[in-house]
Amino acid sequence: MKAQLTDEQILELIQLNKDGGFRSLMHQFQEPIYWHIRRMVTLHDDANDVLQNTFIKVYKNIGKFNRDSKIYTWIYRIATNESITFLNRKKKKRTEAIDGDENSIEYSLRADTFFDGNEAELALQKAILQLPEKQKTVFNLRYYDEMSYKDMSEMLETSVGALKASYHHAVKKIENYVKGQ
Amino acid sequence: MKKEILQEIEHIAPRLLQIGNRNPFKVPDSYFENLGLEADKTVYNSDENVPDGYFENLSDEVLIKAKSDKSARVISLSAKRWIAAASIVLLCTASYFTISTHDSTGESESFALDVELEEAFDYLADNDDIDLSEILELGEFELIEEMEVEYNDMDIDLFLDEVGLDDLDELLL
Repeated sequence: MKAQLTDEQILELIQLNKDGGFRSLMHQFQEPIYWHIRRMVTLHDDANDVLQNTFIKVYKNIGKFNRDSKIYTWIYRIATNESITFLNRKKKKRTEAIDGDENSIEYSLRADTFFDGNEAELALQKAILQLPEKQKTVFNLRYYDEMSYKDMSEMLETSVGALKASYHHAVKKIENYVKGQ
Repeated sequence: MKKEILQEIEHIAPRLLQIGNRNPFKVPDSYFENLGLEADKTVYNSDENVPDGYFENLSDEVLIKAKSDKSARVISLSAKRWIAAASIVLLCTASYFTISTHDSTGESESFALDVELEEAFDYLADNDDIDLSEILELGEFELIEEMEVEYNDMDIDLFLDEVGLDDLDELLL
């Protein structure tokens, strides 16, 4: 098991040696942040690009980190923004019709060597991909990461009530989708 | 699955519950194993489609890019909300004045044409304490009230779900 540094220790390391401290920060957070991004953008190559952009922003803005939240929460927020921006850009570039788009997503997942889900899990991923980005984020954080609404509220700067409502809507939509498969 | 999460969906999504929350994605075996900070290993393993030792070298790669990329800037969700709020107000205001001007002079002009997204962002980013009502006042919010349109955080979030930052830029120009 990896030794975990506290936020204070990481910030102290960065103050002493920015690059060295940043490596420690990346070492500590890159894996959970990768999985958060991967669930948002689905494919490994896309997740890799978004992950790198996320940490570039972290590196360039770590001096402005105001310690109001945990470093982890702050990075998660940046990763969420980067993922949503990436998905919106990707959506904009697509020229296929909705059905075609759905088929292409299914094709990508089936062809992805690093997706080993069964048919039901594939249907679930397809259902998640139909959600608006914010709902998708909330659903993934709650359902897969099992994050508390309180932490999510801090991360997404949204009220607990709105998050609960968003999760409820997402679950209902997904249930309807997978039932229809 | 945590009990509270299970209880939350058991009545509304039994099918989803059956599928469970196992992570269906995977990475190569070595992907998470070599998390050391050594930077002298090979990045790509020719036998696989994804980088071997990916995380091992990632920090070096990011550091190189971070130092060469001068444009990266963190835009927080709240800042994006402000941009969205400002965009909505500007659009509504522009629409109003377009209609109004058209009615009185026969010429259609949009007052939003001169607005730059960057200026809007900088203004909003520099004024963290500004509240929504102030922004809405800037956009002659009374006019929007007359149009019986109400905005709240969820509306703005929904708006952001559908419209990216690039789209906002286009909407404003």
